[in-house]
Amino acid sequence: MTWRLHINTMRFLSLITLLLLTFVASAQPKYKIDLTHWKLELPSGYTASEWKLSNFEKDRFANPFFYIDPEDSAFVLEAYPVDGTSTAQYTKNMLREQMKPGSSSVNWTLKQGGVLEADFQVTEVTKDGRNYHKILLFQIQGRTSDEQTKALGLEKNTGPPFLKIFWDNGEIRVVRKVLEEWNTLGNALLMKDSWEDGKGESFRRDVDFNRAKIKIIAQEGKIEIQLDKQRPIIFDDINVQQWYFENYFVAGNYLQTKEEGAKSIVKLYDLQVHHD
Amino acid sequence: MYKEFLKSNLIGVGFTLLLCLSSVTTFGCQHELPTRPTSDPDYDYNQDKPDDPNLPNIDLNNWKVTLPIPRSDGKPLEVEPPEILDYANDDRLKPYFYNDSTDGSLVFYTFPEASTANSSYSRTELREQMVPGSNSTNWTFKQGGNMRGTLSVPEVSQDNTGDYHRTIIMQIHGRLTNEQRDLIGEDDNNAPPVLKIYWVEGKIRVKTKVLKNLDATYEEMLHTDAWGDDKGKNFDEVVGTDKFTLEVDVSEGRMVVTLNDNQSFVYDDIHMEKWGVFENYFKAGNYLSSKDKDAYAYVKYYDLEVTH
Repeated sequence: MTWRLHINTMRFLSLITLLLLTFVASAQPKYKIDLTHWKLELPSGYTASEWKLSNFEKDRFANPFFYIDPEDSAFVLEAYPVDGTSTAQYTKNMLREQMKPGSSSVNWTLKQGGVLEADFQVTEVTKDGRNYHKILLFQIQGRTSDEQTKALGLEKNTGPPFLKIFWDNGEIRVVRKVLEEWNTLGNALLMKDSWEDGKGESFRRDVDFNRAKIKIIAQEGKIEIQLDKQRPIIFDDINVQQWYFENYFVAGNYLQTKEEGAKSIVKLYDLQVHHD
Repeated sequence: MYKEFLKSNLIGVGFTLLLCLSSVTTFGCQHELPTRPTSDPDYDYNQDKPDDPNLPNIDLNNWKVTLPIPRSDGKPLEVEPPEILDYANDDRLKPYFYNDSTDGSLVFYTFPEASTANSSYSRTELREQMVPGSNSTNWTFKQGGNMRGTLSVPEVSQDNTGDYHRTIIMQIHGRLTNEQRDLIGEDDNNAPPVLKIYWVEGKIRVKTKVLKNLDATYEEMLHTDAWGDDKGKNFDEVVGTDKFTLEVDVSEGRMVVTLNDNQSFVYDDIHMEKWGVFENYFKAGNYLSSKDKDAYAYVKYYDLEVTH
């Protein structure tokens, strides 16, 4: 008697709990990443920011490349070559940071600093012979401020990428810019040609097709990249000290080929940027 | 130990049941109307009637609607009061102008097809008629007017580059009196719109008119080409597909447009003063600025009120 009562009680309680849980779950936002401060650029050349980006789920131009995985609420970014208006060298599906929503002209200096944190996963990538195609996942892009552009007599803002983080056959490889001549001074520091790629470093343990967390901390004279619990990669030499460009973060899936049939898929479970 | 556990569980169940019961009673009470003093012959029976949240709050007695579909002569179909009042049962109107009882809105659906004489675009749009069924009674800025509406733009098509089509959701349109029309030798009463409010990619954009030559004579001012577009400006707030409130308030030499009772654009310069020569009428709805084959737009009005 007591047993039966108890079982019924338990059933009732679990039903209530289930109902409550369903209610709580449905109140959660559908996805975690706030897109307010990002501009999306797709392989087709299509771009979207502000409301247009926030409406991506109903946007038939964004849908094939940029969508939510209903299973885990992650953002899925697919990159494969398509015809279109893209001026990118390869197949680009990237989010570009916009400190001021809808505007590309407000960016940050190393002195102001910036932190990017992402929870990501490469889930699919085609091969070129024995090797996988390379993917650029994260970037700090340099850009002359309007003032610098004017002072240099340039037609438009320009600058080299300061930091590039690749997925390269399962390993996470970091390449940053170094001065061609270590004693470069003055306006020459803001010339693209004064800078070249450094030799690059990789994290010891490969991420392969697993989910991983990355944190990029940019500050005056120092860049630190953390990947899961691995030993961080740090740059704090003269090349970082002499970086006077303004910058913005870029994150996503930039497939480093235009080869027909090539494809890569990157999932973003979380993506956050802050400037304190 | 076991009994204690059972006891606490039972208390929990009792409490939950109590909660359920009390909420049922609360919800049940909501539909009860207040008692009416039946003996009073002057009692206004409508005053206590709750507004039906499933119906739009729009009195169509002073509006006519223009549709994107043609009549037999090719001009767009228009329905005036009193016929418009029966819109919910009018098969011609139903596809373009209908109630959505899920959110209490009046839906304006449109796509490019038939267009009016002075336009190349199509519309499902209301045109104010101060005298029901007549276009010839209108108002000047000196007489003034106020239009306030709550609306949303839930869905708009994209062009072939992915840009969303633009649609005009409110207007103040100028109109020549018959004397003015005859004075400048026009064959209709058309004058430019002094106000166009657009939905553009989730933002609300306001455009007005400027007199190109401030030395223009009265007669010169009556010509449509005497007036040019100002460069327009957007409200800061992004409305996207959400509901918002727009208010347009007009008085002598002055026009104020307000979004969500929060941000206002005030126009009170020489151009507004000069506009005083025209008569005007309000428009509200969905006037799609595209002729793309697959273009369409939905605009929803939840309430709309005009006062003079």
